[in-house]
Amino acid sequence: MSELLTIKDLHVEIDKKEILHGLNLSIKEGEIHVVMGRNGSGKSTFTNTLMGHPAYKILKGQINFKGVDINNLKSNERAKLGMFLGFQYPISIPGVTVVNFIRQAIKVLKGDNISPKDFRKRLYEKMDLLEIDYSFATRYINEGFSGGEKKRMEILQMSMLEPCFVILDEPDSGLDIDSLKLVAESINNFKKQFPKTSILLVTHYQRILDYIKPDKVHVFLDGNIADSGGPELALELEKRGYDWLEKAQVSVL
Amino acid sequence: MGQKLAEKVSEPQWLIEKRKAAKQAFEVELLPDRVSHLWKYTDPAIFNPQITTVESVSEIGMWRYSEPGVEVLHILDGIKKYEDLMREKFGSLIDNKNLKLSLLNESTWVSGYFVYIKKNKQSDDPVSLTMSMEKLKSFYPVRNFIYIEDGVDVKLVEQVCSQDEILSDVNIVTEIFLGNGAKLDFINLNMVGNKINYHLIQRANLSAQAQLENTFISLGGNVSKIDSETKLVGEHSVVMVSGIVLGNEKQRFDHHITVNHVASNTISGLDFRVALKDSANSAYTGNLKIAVNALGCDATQKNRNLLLSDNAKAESIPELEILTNDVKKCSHGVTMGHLDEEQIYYLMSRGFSDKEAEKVIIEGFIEPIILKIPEHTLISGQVKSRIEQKLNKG
Repeated sequence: MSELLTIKDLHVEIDKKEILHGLNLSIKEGEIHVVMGRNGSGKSTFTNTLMGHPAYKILKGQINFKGVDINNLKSNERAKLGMFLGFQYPISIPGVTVVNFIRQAIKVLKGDNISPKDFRKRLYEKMDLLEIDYSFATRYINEGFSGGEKKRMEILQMSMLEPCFVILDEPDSGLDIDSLKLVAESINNFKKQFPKTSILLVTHYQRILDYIKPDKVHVFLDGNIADSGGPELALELEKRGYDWLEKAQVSVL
Repeated sequence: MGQKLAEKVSEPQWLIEKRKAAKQAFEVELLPDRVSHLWKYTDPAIFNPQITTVESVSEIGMWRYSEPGVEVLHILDGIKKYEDLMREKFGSLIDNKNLKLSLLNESTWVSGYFVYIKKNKQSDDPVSLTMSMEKLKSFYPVRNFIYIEDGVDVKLVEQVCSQDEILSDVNIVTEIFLGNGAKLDFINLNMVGNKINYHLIQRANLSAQAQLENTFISLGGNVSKIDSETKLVGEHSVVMVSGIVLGNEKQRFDHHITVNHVASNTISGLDFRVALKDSANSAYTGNLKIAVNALGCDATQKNRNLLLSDNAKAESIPELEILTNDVKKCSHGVTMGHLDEEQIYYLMSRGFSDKEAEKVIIEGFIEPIILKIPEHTLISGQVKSRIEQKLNKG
């Protein structure tokens, strides 16, 4: 499989404070990568930098996506290349219904003029999978949704927009076990339907990895990848905690 | 001027006297001073036209129309047909708050509608009344009258419009009477061109258990001022006022919304949303009054302002005049702000350009109010395309 995303020596700051210090990572087409790490280790800085949040400034390094240097591309241009970010804290847009939001997004992304009837059919199918009540279609996006509903709504958008690279920032936080299973199954279904799509999944917990099988696991520590490995690394972390890795780092130094 | 026209259409004597008195009073009355709070933000001289060519609005929609329980007439025909009612009620809601401009209207009006909704009404279709101004450099004094009998419910959509190049002035006075338990869903659409100075005085009087949903959609005009007051004179009457202002270029809007709780156990809610582009400007005053003998009232108001450029300016003046100790609830909230960067980022991450994201957010902001316009109608299409045009400009 060919390289989809290549990151070299990435340094990023926000509010004049450097958060990422020379990160390197490459993801191939179809791979699932998992990023774990403590709060404040730079995971969200990383996901937002990938998606082009204007507050995060790249000081040095390069992000190459599908052979394109995307350092200076705006978020919507990245989305048009096939990137998607499932937000850790999805934003509400009052007055904009879920159905209109997704329909308009499909239109701007793909110029698709899918008929309203076909669109609804597809939307309802995906909502069924996520056990989202149809009444949500006409509710304002994320307005008054619970944490779990917001997370499912992100997955719903992912499956409707069909990106080729999905970044999921803690899709499992705040979910009960049943919701977690639903979200994980939807991600797996989506992956089955689009095997070439790559996923970068940020999580705190090993739990979601009972359902989703990653190719690689990376552990963030102080704004860089401290260790990378296979799924066994996540299990090890679960058992021994981040301290273990921190100590290991110190002993190497 | 008024007298000459009145004679031409043979108005009843009492009306001729009324006009004569108004004309005399108008000539001696001074323009309101800028200190009085109604005129703090707009110069009243703008609405005292130098133009002397008085014109009638063109009638589009359901004018001179009747079906069981619904009668829509030219105001003069209404006065003639229902002379007893009109002798008693016509002008009775007009107070001295905006004296010079209401006198101007009373002495000069030549057109307007008369709507009478009766108990035997059958159809639930909304009644649509469109007033169009088609002549350049004219003055349009318009007088409207709405009377709804006890227990009837009806939806009225009033639209004032003109082509963009029309440079004229309009002065509208509308009186609304709701009988016991009557329900009116009323929409006022200001769709005039951006060269028109628009002045509207609207007064509503609610009897016991009457309900008024009063919606203002203000898109047009050079300077637009609305002075609306609802009097809740019957117990358990309810008024919900909602409004949007969408201003661009150099438009100025001045909305003064008063709810007067005269009777006990009355309820009011105000939700006014203002979005301003370019160097547009808005002043919103929401005035809630609760009389000393009005017990157990519930009054809330919200005013949200969205500033879309550094040169746009909004003022929000919530006023509470509560003269009783026995209030169920009385609250107000104001927000003022620019577009939320995180909302823009969220939308851009889904593929919308920054301009498209801005548009989606503004459309969402005004959507709950726009929804009140009957869907799939000519008017809803016109409103949407006007909004579209305003959002796409610049």
